[in-house]
Amino acid sequence: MISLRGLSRRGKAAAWLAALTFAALGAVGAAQSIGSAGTRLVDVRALTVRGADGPINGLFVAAGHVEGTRSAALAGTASSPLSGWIAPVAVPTVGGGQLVYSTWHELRHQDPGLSWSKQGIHSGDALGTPTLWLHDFASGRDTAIDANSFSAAVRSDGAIAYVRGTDVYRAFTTYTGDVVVRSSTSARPVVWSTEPADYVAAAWAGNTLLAYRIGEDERLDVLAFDGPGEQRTLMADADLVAVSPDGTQAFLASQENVPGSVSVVNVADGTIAVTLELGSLQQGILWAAYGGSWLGDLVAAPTNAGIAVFDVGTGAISLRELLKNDPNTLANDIIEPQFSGDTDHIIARGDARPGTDTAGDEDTTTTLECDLATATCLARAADPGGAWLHPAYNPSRPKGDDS
Amino acid sequence: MNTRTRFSPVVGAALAAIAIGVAPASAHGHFEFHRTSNLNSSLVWVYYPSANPTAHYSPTWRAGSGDSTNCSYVGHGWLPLGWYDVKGHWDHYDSTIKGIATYLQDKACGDGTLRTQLFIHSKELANWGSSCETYCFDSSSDYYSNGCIKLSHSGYGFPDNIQDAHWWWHNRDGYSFHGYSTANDALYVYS
Repeated sequence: MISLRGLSRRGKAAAWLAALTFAALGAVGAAQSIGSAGTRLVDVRALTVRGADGPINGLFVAAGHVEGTRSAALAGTASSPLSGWIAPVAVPTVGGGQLVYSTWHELRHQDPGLSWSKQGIHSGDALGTPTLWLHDFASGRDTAIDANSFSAAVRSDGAIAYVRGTDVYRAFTTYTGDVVVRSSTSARPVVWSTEPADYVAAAWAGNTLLAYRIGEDERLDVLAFDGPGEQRTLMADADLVAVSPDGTQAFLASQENVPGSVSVVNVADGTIAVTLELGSLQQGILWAAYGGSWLGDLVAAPTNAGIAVFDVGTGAISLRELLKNDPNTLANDIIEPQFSGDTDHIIARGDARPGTDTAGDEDTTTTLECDLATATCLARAADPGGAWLHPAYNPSRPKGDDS
Repeated sequence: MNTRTRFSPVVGAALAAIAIGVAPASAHGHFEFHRTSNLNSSLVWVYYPSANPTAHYSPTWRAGSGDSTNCSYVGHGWLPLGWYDVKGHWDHYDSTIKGIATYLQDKACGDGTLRTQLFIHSKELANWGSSCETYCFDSSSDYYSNGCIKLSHSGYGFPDNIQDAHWWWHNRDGYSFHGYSTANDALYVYS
């Protein structure tokens, strides 16, 4: 079933075209095994995407609703314009009974085609503000955790870290805030960052909070916070792909060079356990990015070439499988691949570029459930990018439950 | 002076506007970035040397932006379409970005994701030299960025396009300021 809510007639046509294209892709899968720079054979496959007959696994948010394995209406569209999907836009708490998410309130409508000056927007004008919410699935109620706040990391004991802005988002002004931590959603927030900056809270690795600081050219520095005022750089110019199941290590992707590299980093002291240069794989992988997942010895990472599954279980990093994007399809990006139950299945979001007749930069997005063994994905919903369709997942480790 | 004529969507719109009696958007020139690929897009300076509405052009410079064509991919995607104000310009910027740097306003992609901290810059030192540990333009992959517009710097087989663009910005109906100041409608990004 395809969700067409909120789409214009033209948008609906595009969504159905997306669905038909996914269905038509059923025959294009191809597999090959290629020796890599490591000793293992790499399973490289072209992605096959087809329409799902029924519901697919996974928890997603889109257009103000929760869908997938649970269903609920939220206080607004879970979205995070200040950080995109650097960190999940919606995070289930341990046990899954609640969902922490951010919404965005536009204080002044903008036309992205026009400059600020053309719209009469001056330096310092207030443009928007986020709010951090808690949804309780049992009661259906939404409670505001904090105003002018976004990007939650939820620890297994219920502690929540997020970024609380020092001011609303204003024109010609970098949005800055503090990283704050509450021991529970009702507890008093404690500032952990040493000074306001353009932070994004990402995930807990044990009792250490991993967060980003966004710098010039949107360079991301991965930071570790061990407590109030205890802040250090874990890796500069890098993306956090995932945290190890026991919370002691982080899989980081360095963006300093192209092609970049991926490393397993010990969170406690920042030492690098092992690094793999992506160029050595000779698979066209230039970079890996945030929004991946780590289960057992495997790490699923979004890359420019598709979903890469790395094996980190042998004291080295090797590429085990590459599920390649097909640039001719409408799922030419797969983001936020999350292992779902085992290492053979993931849920993710598929992104398709706007057609040549489509103005602006708004992708069509789909929910994906992929079987890594067969390199086949089922696509269900098709939404415009403005619906903010994203998997709802908790990247913090250890998880603290059996999910 | 290297001036020439070619198709410009902005000039086309400006001429159409003139036909109904509306003047061009600004007495100043502006950059136009034709977003075609991460590694090989193009940047040109467009200006109007007199009240005459005919646009004149600088040479076209190869330019890069992002390492993904997904606009909403913060830190990876190329910069969004549309008009930009400039919020500052420096000859010897000395932070993460170094050297000649033109700071752009934030802009939203189609889904509302804000792209921030965007510049037009190169990979050079603040004094316009090079240090190949981190700041030298010695490979085509140096056209990649996290979203900014990247121009080449000389010294390792590439032309000094950042310096060339800088000259046109200052000397052909551009702007004389350095530091934080606003230049309205100073960049147009189109596909």
